[in-house]
Amino acid sequence: MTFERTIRYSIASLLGAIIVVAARVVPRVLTGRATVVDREAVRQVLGFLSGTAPASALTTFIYGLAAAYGVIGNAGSAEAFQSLVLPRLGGAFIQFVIPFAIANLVVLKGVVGMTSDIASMRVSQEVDAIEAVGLDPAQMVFAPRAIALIITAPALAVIGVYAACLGAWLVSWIAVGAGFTEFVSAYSSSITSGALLLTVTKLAITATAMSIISGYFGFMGAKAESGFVGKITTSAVATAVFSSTIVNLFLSLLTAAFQLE
Amino acid sequence: MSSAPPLSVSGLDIGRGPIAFEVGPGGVLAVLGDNGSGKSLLLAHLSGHLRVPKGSVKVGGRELRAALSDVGVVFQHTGLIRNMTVFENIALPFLVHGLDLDGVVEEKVRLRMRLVGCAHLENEEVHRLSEGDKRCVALARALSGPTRLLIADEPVAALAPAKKALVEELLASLVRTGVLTGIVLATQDLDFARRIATHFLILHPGGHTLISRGDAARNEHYLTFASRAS
Repeated sequence: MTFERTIRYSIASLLGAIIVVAARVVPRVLTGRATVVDREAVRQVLGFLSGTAPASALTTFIYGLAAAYGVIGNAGSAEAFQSLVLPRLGGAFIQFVIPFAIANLVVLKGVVGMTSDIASMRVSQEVDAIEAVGLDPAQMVFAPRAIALIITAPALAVIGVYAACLGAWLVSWIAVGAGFTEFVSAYSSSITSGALLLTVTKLAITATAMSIISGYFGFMGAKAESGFVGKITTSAVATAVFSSTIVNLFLSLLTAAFQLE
Repeated sequence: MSSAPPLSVSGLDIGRGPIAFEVGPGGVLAVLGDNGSGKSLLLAHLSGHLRVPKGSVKVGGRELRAALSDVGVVFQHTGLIRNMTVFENIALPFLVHGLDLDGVVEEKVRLRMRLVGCAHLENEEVHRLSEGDKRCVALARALSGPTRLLIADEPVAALAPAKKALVEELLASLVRTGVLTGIVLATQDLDFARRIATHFLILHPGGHTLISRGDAARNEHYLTFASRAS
């Protein structure tokens, strides 16, 4: 059984489940023929987005506040800030701050939620029951949550970049009286579609890696009954934090090597 | 119609020596034993959730792996899918077996809800249900799809007396009419087991003992003692 489980919940199988379910969900939902699994996927996406969007907006808003406060203090003058720093601020956020902030949110909320969900479904025998009726738990339980994570992370990046803009403008307005329209225009000038696409792709890849880690730990973690869910979740988060850093580093090196930034 | 027994177990070893028994057509096997005696473990092997380490388990003459769709399971912790309603949980086996949720399937689902006395819970999410209601819904789900053999872990635990009587009558009538070819149930409720079972398998530290209903009266003392104090 262990060997069977290892194959069923291997990285390749989990990745396959994501692809299979994603390929089925979209056409079925669009044509109004959504199945139980499809409805679960949609429910997960909406739930994850609504659960993380406020936290993401608030976090990046605070990053924006803090960054603008620090930058204005060091710019020397309002003119120097507006002419030299502001036009580069959006680009810096999208390249360095947003991927980090969103990846942290994805790791914390996504990995914790997903791993503990799957592990507790094992304890309550929901996973067994899904197998018993002939469904694949990787498709029924894991894939909808993974798809939610993969769709939501890039969406959060877009929300985050403008929440950060709002935070930075608020400080600039108070400190140097920056007008909102001019500020947004200057801030956005360095956000190229290429940079945005790169960040969105990075986050989608990070979210895929995080969801596979969650799925693997959730399904494969040893079932030690007492404290099982907590132990598995802690292990998954520790692995995810480490892996998120490695994935980000690898993607940054890759984009630098191909001069994509 | 196959003449093979609904369930045939030989040489199954779950750490208490090899177990062998058959559940004949219309048979109900009650697995009895103390807490931790291995009842749920045995049922997990019989329902295919744990691989049979040694020996063989055949359902209707076929190897268990090939006959899993014939086996309906009521899990110890019910295993109801938390994000779904009662109706969706019971409909799941029908949908999986290629049926669309049309009027026919809806009627089948509602029939099962009526049979186990949970028709009024149709749109309830399962996490809101009482333990007894969850057990009834789990039974209804196990009876959905092409179930021929029912494996039930504590099917009447936490049920109110009226519900317990309803479930007991339902299970008895399902085997009597041939809708189910056999039932294997684990229970701590000896009175319930006495009323419904045709055979008793008692698990105890020394191994196991199989008693038929005919022998039960003769072994009443042993049955009571072994199932409660093993």
